Amino acid sequence: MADPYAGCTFCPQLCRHTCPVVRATGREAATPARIMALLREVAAGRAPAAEGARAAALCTACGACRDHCRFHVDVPAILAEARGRLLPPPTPAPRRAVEGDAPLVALECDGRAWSGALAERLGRPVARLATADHLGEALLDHPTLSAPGLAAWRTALAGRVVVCACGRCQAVLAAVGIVHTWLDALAPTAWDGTSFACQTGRALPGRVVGGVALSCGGHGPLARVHPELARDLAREAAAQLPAGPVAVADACCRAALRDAGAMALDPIDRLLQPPRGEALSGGTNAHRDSP
Amino acid sequence: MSTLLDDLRAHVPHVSGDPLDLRASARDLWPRTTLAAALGQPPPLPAAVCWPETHEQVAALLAWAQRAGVPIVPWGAGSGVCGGAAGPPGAVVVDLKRMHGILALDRERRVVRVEPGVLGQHLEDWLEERGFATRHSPSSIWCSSVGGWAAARSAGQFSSLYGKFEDMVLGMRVATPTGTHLTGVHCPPCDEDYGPLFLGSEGTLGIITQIEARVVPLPTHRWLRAFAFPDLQSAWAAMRAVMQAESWPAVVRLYCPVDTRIGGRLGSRKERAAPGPLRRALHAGSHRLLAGLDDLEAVRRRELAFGLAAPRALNRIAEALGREVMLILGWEGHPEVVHAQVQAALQLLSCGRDLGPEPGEHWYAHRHDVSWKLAPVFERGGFADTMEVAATWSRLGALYLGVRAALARHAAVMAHFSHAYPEGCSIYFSFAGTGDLDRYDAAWHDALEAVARAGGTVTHHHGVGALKARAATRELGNALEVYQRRKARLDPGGVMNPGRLFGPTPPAQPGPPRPATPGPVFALHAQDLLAEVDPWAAPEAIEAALTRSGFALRLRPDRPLGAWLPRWRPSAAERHEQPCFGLQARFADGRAARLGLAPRSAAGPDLRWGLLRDARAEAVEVPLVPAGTPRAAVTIRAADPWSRAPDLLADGWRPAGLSASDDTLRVEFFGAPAPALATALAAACGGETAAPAPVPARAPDLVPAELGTAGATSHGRLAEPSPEGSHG
Repeated sequence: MADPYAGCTFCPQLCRHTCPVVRATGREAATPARIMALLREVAAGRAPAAEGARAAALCTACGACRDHCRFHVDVPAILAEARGRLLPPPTPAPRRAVEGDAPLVALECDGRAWSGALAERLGRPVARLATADHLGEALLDHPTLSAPGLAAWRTALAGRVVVCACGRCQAVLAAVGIVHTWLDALAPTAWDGTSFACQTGRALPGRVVGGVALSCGGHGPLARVHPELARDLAREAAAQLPAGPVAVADACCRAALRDAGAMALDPIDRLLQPPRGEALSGGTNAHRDSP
Repeated sequence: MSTLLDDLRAHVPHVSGDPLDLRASARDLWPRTTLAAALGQPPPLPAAVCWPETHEQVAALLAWAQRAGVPIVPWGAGSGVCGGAAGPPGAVVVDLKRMHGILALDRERRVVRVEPGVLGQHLEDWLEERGFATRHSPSSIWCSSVGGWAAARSAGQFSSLYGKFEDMVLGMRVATPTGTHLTGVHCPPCDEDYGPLFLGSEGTLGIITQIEARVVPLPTHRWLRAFAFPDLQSAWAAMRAVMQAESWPAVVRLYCPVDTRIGGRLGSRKERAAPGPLRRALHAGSHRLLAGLDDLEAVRRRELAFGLAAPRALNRIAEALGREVMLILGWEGHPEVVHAQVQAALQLLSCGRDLGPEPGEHWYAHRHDVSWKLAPVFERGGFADTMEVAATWSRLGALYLGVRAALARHAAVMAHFSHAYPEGCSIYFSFAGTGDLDRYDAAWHDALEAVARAGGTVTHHHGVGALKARAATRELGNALEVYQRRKARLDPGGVMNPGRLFGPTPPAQPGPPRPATPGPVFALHAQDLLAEVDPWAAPEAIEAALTRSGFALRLRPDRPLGAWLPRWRPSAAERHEQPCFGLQARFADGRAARLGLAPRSAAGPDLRWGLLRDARAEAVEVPLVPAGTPRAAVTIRAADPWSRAPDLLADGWRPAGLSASDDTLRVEFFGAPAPALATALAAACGGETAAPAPVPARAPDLVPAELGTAGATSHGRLAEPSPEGSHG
């Protein structure tokens, strides 16, 4: 289709009920149809590009709209292309080197140090890679600019298996084609309480609450460009959770829900939990020096 | 601008003057604004958007707007197709979507309390997890809000059984610029119930902040069937017969010949082939064309433009393909109930050709798909729109032919008939034309004129907005004064959604003359099962006159209608009953007003109840039943008889009436399925079938406070249990 925005522009908003941003914020501007209509105006020179850039970031990239659409319009991909054109690229953080020669590499992305705990749990050495910007995930909207960085990661991590606990990092690993696994799959822990399943599609065992409609706001361009709205999503999700600790599979979701007042625990918390006999306080904050 | 935003933030925490929000809230789904935007003519922008989270914030905001003279545009999900939420420049949009709580579900009373910003599908998903549903299923359920449903008198695809949304609403809380009002079951008995006024007011009187609506248990059984009829006339007759037999189908959909063929629903091409090679070739070619209309992805821009540029030719080709039509019927609910109702209805469909369950099941599985077809038309430079009108059965044919002819001059058109009632039904026209605002306006002008000539209503459920404001004003005539008097009290500054719902008031007219024939029955409309009667005649006299003509009153008051009707209140009864259909009344200055052209009109609020208060009734159209309509009853013994009622209703039995004495619950059924239903219920509950009761002395339940004084209620109403949980 020559005009990628036309289908959604003229659609009677049949996917709006699936959008977690609209559900939590109530903003018409966040509906896929309105975003697409505005981008169409920008493309025709009838609206400012800056408005289009902000609109294109009113998205968590969950894909619920695409999955619901009869025509499977790839709204996240269309918005990613628009963001790449309209938004200034972020400045990537300095790239750190992998510490250690072990074939298994723990990807530490939020300051918590857990490679040692994983090594102890598995009984074998684990290397460590710290990243302050989720391997430059925000640059994925800018393919030309991100290509060199992604190539560098491909080289640095060739032949290794990366262990991650974060969807933002996982997006880069998948884009580069690096072999990876999730921490909860590699080192599962027992849990029979409430588990939160969000748009990452991952949920730990237990009584699962959530789904795509209940996004924690921790992912996607919304979190980067509209953090105040992302917090609205987290508050909405936290309000829907029952009282007590809730397990999440993703470190970004953990952070978002904790900021919204929920007692969220992710696999890193479970890995770092104190020895038996000590109360689980809801996670530790054993940080190394920040990268 | 900063002053306005500051003023708003004093009342509502979430406020925006961001161009993103202003642009997004400047228009709803009115195809005219969509077309205009596609042609580079964007709508005017509001001044600000705000998102209140509580009733108190809404009330404070409206009071401020009243003082400041700032126009307010209430906004749900913006799914209206008549421009009702596309406000004037400089207005403040009040977006209700942060009021999205589903507050409570009363399983015993089968009532849900919900905030207005909840999206329809979210409500249905929430209820379904708990074994309930509203069964209000508009095709916009994915993109419309519950508040919008109430404000625009929305109808769903199962309205023939469950009613429109206004029939489901038991009470509301509404903020207006001059105060807060509770309606329906929560309205204080001595106050005028503004519920019928707020329903359908499209944000011109206040903002609905809470809704209490009835829910039903999820149906456990569904039966769908399609029938082919040789032409529309025979199909209309079958529809009418089914609706008037009290068989209460949930789904009634009759497709016009063109729509029937687009779906290829009548069977194999071999079965449809006409004699002669030329006609066979026409069939083959037109089938490809019509299939293309069904799948516009395969149709290119110039092909569509070519077709739509010659709508008369396109319509004539379509008409020439044949007259056979398809009717889909569906029932759902308790298996015994469905079985009895289906068996009663099948006896009325013998002149139809049974097409089996597949067409109906296909429709049910894809009933929202039609909305996906709109975007491709606009993308290819055309416009697509819909028009939903309604009329009584006796006027239905003239309405269909008149509106179709009017639209066909400007656009390719097809139609289906749905939202059927004992008195009539709705016609849903779909039409598409070239992307030209003049053509769009001409199509609507001609079509609305045709509706007025045919005696139908200009809208059944899409509402009025800006599109039909003049037409709705004309349709209501002098009755508009009922609305205007209350508008002056509720919104004296005129800040609520200005320019919407009604147009400039025409000069006062004398109105219809007094009935010329002597009463008590002025006119009998047998085809519609309606009679126009003297509201001040004794009901016994009316009944005697009707009996001589082979009919009886459907609801039997114990006092003249003129005294009985003003005290009527909706209750939590399973059925949606309309005690009066049409009304003619005379104001003190001698002008008369008449309401009730068509069943369930959405041309603004239901003003009949206000008209009864403001003027003296001089003719009332009441629903009838044919004399000899089967009735049957079941008595169930219980120490606390009313305690059996909730379970009975929760199981999906839908009686026509419930009454109780000391240790007996009496359940009445009505219509062709009645004997089978009574037998089935007696077997299921251990009750006993009983002879139908004589005409009760009391009127049907009017208000909760009246219940229990005589120990029994009468035909037609379910009593509201008192807060203490016992009846009376």
